[in-house]
Amino acid sequence: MTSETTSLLRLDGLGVRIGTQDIVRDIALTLAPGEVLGLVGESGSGKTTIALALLGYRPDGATFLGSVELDSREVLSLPPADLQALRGRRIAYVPQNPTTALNPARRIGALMAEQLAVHGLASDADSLGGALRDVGLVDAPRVLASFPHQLSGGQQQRVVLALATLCAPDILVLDEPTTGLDVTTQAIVIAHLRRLRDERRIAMVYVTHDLDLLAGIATHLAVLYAGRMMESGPAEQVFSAPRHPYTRALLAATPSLRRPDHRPQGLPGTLRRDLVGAGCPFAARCRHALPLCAMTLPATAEVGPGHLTACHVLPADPSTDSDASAPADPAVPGGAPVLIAHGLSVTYLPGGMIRRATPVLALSEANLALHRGEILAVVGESGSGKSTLAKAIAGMIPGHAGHLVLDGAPLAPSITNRTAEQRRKLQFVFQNPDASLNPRRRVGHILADALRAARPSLSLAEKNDAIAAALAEVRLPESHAGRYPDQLSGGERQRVALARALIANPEVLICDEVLSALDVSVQAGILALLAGLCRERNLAILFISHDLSAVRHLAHRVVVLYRGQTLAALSARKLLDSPHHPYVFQLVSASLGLPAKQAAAMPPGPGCPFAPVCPVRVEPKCRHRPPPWSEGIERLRCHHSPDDLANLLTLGH
Amino acid sequence: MVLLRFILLRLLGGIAMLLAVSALIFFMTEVLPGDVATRILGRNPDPERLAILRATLGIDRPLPLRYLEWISGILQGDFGNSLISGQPVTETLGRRVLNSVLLGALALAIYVPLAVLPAIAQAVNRDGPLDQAISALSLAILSIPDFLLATLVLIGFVVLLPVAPARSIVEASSTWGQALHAMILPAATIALVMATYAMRYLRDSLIEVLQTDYIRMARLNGIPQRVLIWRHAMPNALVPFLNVTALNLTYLFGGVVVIEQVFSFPGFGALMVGALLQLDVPMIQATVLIAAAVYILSNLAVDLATLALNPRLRHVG
Amino acid sequence: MPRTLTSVLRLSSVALALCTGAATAQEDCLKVMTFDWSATLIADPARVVNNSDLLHVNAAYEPLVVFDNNFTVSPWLAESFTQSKDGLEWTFVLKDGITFHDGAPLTSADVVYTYRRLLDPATASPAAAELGMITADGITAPDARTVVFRTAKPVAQLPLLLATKYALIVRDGSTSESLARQSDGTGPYVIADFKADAPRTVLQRNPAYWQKGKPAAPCLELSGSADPISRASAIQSGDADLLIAADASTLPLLQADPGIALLEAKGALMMTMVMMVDQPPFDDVRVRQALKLVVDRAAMVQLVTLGFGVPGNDNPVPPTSPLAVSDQALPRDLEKARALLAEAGHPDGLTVDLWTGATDLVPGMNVMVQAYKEMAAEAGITVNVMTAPSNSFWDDVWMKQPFSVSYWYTRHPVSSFSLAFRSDAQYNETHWRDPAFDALLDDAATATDPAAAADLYRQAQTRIMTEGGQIAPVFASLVAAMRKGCTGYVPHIESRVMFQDITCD
Repeated sequence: MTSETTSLLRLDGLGVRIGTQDIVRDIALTLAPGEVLGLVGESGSGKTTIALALLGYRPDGATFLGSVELDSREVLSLPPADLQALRGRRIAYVPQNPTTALNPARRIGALMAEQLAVHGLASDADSLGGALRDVGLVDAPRVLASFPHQLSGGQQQRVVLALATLCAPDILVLDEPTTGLDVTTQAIVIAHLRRLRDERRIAMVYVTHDLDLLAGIATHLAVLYAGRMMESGPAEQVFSAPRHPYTRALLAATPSLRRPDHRPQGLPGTLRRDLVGAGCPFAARCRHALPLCAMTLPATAEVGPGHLTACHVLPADPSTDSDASAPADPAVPGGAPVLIAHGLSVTYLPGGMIRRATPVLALSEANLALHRGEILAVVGESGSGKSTLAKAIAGMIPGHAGHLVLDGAPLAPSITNRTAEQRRKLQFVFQNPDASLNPRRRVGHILADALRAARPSLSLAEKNDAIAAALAEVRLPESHAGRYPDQLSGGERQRVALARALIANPEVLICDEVLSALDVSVQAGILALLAGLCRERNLAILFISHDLSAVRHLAHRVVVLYRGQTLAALSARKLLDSPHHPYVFQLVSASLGLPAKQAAAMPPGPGCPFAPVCPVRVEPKCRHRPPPWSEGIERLRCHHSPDDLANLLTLGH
Repeated sequence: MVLLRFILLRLLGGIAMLLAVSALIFFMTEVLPGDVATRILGRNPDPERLAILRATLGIDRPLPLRYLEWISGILQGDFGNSLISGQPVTETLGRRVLNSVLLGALALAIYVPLAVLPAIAQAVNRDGPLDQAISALSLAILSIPDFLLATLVLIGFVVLLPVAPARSIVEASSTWGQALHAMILPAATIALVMATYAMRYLRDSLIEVLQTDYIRMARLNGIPQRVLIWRHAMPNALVPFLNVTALNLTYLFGGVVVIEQVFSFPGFGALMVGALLQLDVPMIQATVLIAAAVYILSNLAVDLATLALNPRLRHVG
Repeated sequence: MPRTLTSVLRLSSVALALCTGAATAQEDCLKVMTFDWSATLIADPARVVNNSDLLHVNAAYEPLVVFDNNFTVSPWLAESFTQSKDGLEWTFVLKDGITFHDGAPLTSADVVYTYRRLLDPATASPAAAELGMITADGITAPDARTVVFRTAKPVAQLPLLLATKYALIVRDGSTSESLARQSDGTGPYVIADFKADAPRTVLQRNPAYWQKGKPAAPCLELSGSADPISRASAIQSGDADLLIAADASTLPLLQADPGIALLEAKGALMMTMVMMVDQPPFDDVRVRQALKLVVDRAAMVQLVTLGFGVPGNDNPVPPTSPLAVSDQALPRDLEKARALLAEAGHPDGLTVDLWTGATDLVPGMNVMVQAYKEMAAEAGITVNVMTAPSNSFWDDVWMKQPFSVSYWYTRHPVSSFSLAFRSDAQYNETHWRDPAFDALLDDAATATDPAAAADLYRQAQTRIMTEGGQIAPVFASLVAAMRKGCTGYVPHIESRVMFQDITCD
């Protein structure tokens, strides 16, 4: 960290207590202009609490300890009027969920104008438009006149970012600002933040659970666990030479396209605050833990210039932690496909209180063939139709066009028209386990319900055995059968959802964005589980995702969708090693944090859906004629030949 | 433009509903025991005189014919004549509707701040002493039946503290000042009844809204408390309150007959009840139709206000 | 929004300040308030329905003759009236110098027109039923000041019957339409620009009223409310000078007010318990007499009417009437009652069911029932009080159950006896059939000598008292409230009002 004389923000011994529980304890940090501090931790580590405390925001019933100094003023004890003047003006907050953070009853322009007015700054259409254009929202007048629900998630996040930077604050506090955003949008936001850091010397506190993301922007890192600081220091040092076991474990668990050969390793156990005792909070899950660790709190020691760690053990050799073996690259299984989709198309009519129906083509002529023991990933951004594809196959869209064949027999479009056997063979796992598990039923009952529907002929003893086996298969202890979903962590809930699907002995498993709601460190475990299930049961898995790094480690083959149309079908390795398709190239670049090359937008036509923004488009062919499929195993749809593409697109690392 | 179409469609639907209501009330009044002829001539009149009176009043002709005559009359602005006084219904109806509209407007003007301000104070002071005190007080007033409340107000502010007249008389010759003076007590009573009922809805929805992410975000952006409450929270919190206000609006046009009676206010409710008791059929039909129209219009008004406050509903979902 | 709120508040307080300056219209009007009011007021005397209508026509029109609370008739617009020797004709001579509101003089033609109009089916007046004994042809006007009524049989009480509330003299040629907007009568006040739905009516003084110097008040303000507290508050705050009927519930309140005087019309409402004389055990006259003897009438007056009443003597004539057999209350005699019951075969007492409404049919009704139950218990009679819903009482209980409550507004015996006690009476509550009694009534109705008629009525009363099935313990008074400082009002048993005499300071 920088010296005290130039620091903007100083935290000293910050603690937040609710009742008898300390949410965070003893947090010490400093921040200088132009520094980006990445605040890393799992869900429940207290990072959001710290972020809010920087603005003097106290949760209901909480008390503050220690100090937060901004310009040598104590934020935690400022009177309300002074605090108001500070917030948004000197230090601004960018929230995680932009949709809920924008007032649904106010237009964007009004919100922005009010923000300026409240802080005594002049506002005019130009300055507002300029602020929007800075974050990449080109159609400023439309956005200013819109209500939040008229904007996409990505646009909303950029609006929220614009609001935060509107009054030119010195410090930005960003709370997971890119969660839920498309990869390309994420890249744009990160690029913008880098500009703010470099050109305007804005200091940032970037809260996230995704270490990989920080590699592109953070100058410093601070790792949190259960409300306490485990390690902090310059980003380069912490990344290259992490000293704390937890930091290492996090790095090991995070998949990254920058380290394509590194297979993410899950971190066993979960963050259980109630089990944290007097000693180091990580002791229960640390593989290097000594008895001493659980009994006394480790002191903070300096292990390098500005690099602090709190650990008793400080294991020396970092390389023994991660298993850097290359991911298994099995041959694509052969034989007859177990699931075939041909010409799937879905159109729907949106409606509102005042009806206005323009049909939307969500999915157009999608084809795929899935074999047993194969993991096929369907990749795309929001609006690509990947979820629609999954739902159509699952029978949740009764009005779709096209054919589905399961195990040689045709599959009815609507799930109610399918046979029980067909329903059993094709199982679905949803994105959000909070919503897909009945909160009023115990885990055991949830599994029993699924069992009754899928394999009703079992005896009671057989049923109990099946439940126990299912739990074991997803690596959950048998005792979890008696718990309610809200007593489990996010990762555990997703495992229960998996178990529910597996207990039916399916042949095809559809996973719809099952990792999106989970912490990065937890995702690794689920990925490993899925890979294992595929091998052990010879299961066919249709894996829907927008996360390329996860897909790289898990899938055999990948299908890439864009605006409802299939643009590429290739092996996962090929996807990342040589993405010779303009759109795929853009996706991969964005995933690596490299800014995408944007072409001037043109209106869409009946041809290639990507043509309007394709940097290598050829007018008028690309927009007016549908692109053809290339020959061979790796199939791409583009007017350019594969060789041409190889020359046009090069990845600069 | 889409909004205009929406309003037009709703109005058309409302007219269709009114037609259905008119038919319903027309045929229902025939089922009532006794008729206005016996009401005029007394309990056991001469059958011959009864027949002559019925013929004079025209109530001995077939029902569908009378219904069609009535409907065609309405379309020309003629609601018929009162069977009791012989005077055209429209005159009386017009004056009473105007009176009730004035009373309703005054009551609404008192009701809105009376409901909104304490609800805000409660939401901001949630579970604190002020919140609990207001809750207890409003619950107590809510539990008092409205005629009793009206009587207490009458005794308190007419006999004990002579602030207003005992009879809330509003006439064609009244000045605005006199009318206001006459209406202030019944309007305040009505406002009190409606406000204590609606206050809880607003308090609860305001508390809910104040806990949303976007309010927190506004706070974090440095928006001061007053702007936060009025510009950010209220538009979102008002919807349940508006729904309750719609119900209250229809209460204003008939439900307040008891209060009208206590204050001797020449209102619409008294007209309707009087007509029912005297079996003055044309008056009954006209008043019920007006009451139905008020209900339909107030629902439309509330829907429009909801659209104004909740922009999500305006657009394609 | 807060800014607009404060400006709204400021505006309304200014407005309120402005309005308190403006006084109610015409402070010097006499303000009379009655117990009902509707949005369909009627100004045509022939068609009045509610008391509010009656009030209006009483102010603008006048009758041929008037009667007091004892039904004693005296001339009003008529100067004198005489019965012919054969009793078939009654001749009325009109006073001189009386004019209508339009200036025309009062003549016999107007009287003839008024009564013929009441009889005309096209007018649809309820008076036609009451005036069944005369016909349109039977009304003649020999000259401009004389009217003759001819009947088929002698009608001793014809002048009283002609004084029905609908029979107020209107100008010859008046129609319902013409009377609906503008009065044309001889009364002390004038109705002009009448609005059937007005919340109150203001009538101006008739400058050409035939009683010089009257009325004292230059204008008359009429209003009404069905809510008793509303009326009480009005008179207490000075918004009303006179309440035609102060409700029983507010009597203690008004009594306590030093600025208000309560006036009674005694014997106005008879409250009764009626037994069907053809149903056991009431078919034995001794049982009936016993049930009557247990009543403590003085106590009943206090309990039921709070002192605003007079005791009843088990017949429709109140003791305050000159036609009453006695002006004293019948004594209570428990011993005799028990003896009579024993004689009748009930030595150990008697159990009877008495039916009443769940809520008071008239104020004090159920207090009377409870008091009677306790009084009867002292003579070994067990009274089971049975209640029925009040609004269906008259259809389901009255005249169907052998022992139930009832009430009657007091009338002249010629009406009250024939309505309820004749063998063929329409409302013969007690199922009493006594041909001798009927003959008494016939004779009294046709008697030409008032003294003889009075004697016959007394005989009739005695028969009802001793043998009839009616227990009438109390007559409730009609109580009016008037501000002290006002004079000239005597409450009338049928709520007729003489406005010209009322003055307030």
